[in-house]
Amino acid sequence: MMKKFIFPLLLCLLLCSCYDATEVDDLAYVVALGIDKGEEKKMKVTFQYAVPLNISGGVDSKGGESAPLFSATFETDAIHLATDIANDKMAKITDLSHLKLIVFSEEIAKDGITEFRRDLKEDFEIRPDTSLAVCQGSALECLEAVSSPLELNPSRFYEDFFANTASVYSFSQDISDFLNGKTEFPMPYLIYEDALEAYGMAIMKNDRLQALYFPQDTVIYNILRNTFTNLKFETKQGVFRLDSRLPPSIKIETLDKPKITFFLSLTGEAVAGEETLFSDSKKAEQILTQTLQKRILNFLYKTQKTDCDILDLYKHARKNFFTEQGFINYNWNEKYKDAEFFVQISFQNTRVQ
Amino acid sequence: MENYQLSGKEATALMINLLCSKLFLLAPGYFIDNAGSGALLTVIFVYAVAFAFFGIYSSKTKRDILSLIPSNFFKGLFGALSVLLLVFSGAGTFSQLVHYIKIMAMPKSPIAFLVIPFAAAMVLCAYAGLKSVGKVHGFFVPILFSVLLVLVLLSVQSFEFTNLFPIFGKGFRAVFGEGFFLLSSLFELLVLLYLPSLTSASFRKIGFSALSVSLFFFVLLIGAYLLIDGKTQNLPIFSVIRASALSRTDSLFLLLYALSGMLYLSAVLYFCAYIFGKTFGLATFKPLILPFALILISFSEITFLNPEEQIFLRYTSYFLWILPFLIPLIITWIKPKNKKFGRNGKRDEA
Repeated sequence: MMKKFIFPLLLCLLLCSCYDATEVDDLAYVVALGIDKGEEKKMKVTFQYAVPLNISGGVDSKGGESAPLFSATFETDAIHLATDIANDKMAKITDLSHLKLIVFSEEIAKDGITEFRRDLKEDFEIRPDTSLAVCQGSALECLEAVSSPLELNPSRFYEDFFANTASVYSFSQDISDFLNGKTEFPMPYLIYEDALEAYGMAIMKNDRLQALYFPQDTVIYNILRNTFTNLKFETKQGVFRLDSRLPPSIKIETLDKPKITFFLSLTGEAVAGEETLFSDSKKAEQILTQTLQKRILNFLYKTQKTDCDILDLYKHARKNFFTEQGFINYNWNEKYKDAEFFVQISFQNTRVQ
Repeated sequence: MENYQLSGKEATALMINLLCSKLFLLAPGYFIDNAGSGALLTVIFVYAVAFAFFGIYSSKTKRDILSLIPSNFFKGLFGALSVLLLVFSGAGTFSQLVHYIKIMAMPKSPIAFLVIPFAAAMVLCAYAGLKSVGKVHGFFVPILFSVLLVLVLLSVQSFEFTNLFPIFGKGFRAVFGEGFFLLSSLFELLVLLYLPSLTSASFRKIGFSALSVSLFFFVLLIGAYLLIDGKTQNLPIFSVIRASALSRTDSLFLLLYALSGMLYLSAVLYFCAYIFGKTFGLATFKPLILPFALILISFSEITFLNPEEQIFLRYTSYFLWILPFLIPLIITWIKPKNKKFGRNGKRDEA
């Protein structure tokens, strides 16, 4: 008797989740999201969708190759409203679970991006490794300029674009810091002419665009964060190939004027340039360490001048205190303005004489 | 009341899940809210107290807590309070479990679609008796926590060790003063005090093993949450797993979370009925399981409206520790003075 009821009961229990099951065919996957300032409403939200049929090299009705990306822009007061409008117009459910990039226009970034934090935080679909960026001009045009001839999968393209350690002119700024309430951080600055290009850094302070840094600064930023491999570093005398031997370490003396010392341990060799770089390894080492030291110090004083602790140096300064209150009393934000920087580089030349 | 005796492995697994299940929910948030970056010191301090308590308690007696209480009135009071607090704790967990699963996986489904299967599974497991509760825990808990360990270790690349400083976080008072009351997070240790009559294994060994393993997971998970600089109060371990080097492993979290919650609820429901039956000398307690399940689900509705607030633990944390920690110590302290009790070390059978 009991057995007769068990099967229907199990079915009822197990099929509960079918209630809100969604077919993959019904979804439209957004891979990039652009935010521009609106004309009539607060913002223009651009969804860049992946077109699954074209990712595998589809051909359109006219016989030409079809793009794997498709963009649609909606003017709204909130990102969530834009997804609702998109659902209405596209006859598909807009899904953000494969979102790889959120790009803010420079105008929006200057006005401040605080209001987007709440909007994006509410969305469980958005993954913490989604990259953030600021673009020159319009986010819509920036996304439309994206072409990836070597990578048909747009999702993969964005992953490679930001997280590729072989490219020292770009870096990845995950959304997780922004969602966790961090208001001082750098984002890659994107420009577009023929193709999308990372061109320096957009420095955010209090969620507003504070300054723009050059691509050379991005190289130093990547060196200090240890996010590089096989870096080609240019000096007046020649070019060096650099790799990290040990992760950089930072020591901060929390005096009246904080003393911040960076210890870098690098390995590499000269790959082009003057003959002395190849014949005299000590000279080569001296040239590299002096040039790199100078550039790093320039970068650090530049960040200090911008009043942005983009390297999270405060986290290292906290080590010197037993309690948070002690650190608060020290008043790091004020002291950081007068900090002195020092850089010590140990370089191991791998060139065999 | 129960013929089946839990093996050492089953009893340890049961206690590990009872103690660690809350790590999936809000416990890391409580510790970090209280002590900031000093949360790990609070965990170690709280566990030091728990170890000391259990060391003293288990050295004085190997018997069921109820059998140590001299008066029927106090026995009834202690048993009834244990049941009441277990029901509240179960109700809070139940409410959070279905609430977050709905948010994560079934946003469009009516909440009843989650409440009904979970309630049914919880009742079925508890109704099948101690053997079922023990075997299910013995089988699933090692798998569950091994997978969890692997998932957390996959997030190592996102760890920033500077987040552990300042070492005393919000200050000595927060870490060791107010932190002491987080002993209430180990409130489920109460169940351990009822285990001697339900297991054939060494009570002392079970207690120390469960406390050691749960300490490891408390340190690991709260430490991981600190290291990723997590700020969100909801589902902290979900945030840790989402920071994993392998993308999409977080879908496994849902399974672990549901499984741990389900095991916790079935154990809590079983022990509510068991303790009630034992306290009031009932010949059988199984008919109580369904009424207790209904009470537990009804109570869960109270906190349903705002599970993030966790009103129960917030307002009871200052005194919740008294029942599983202070009172048993007092009982074992007064026990030798009473000639009727503690004459032999035999397990108490109801």
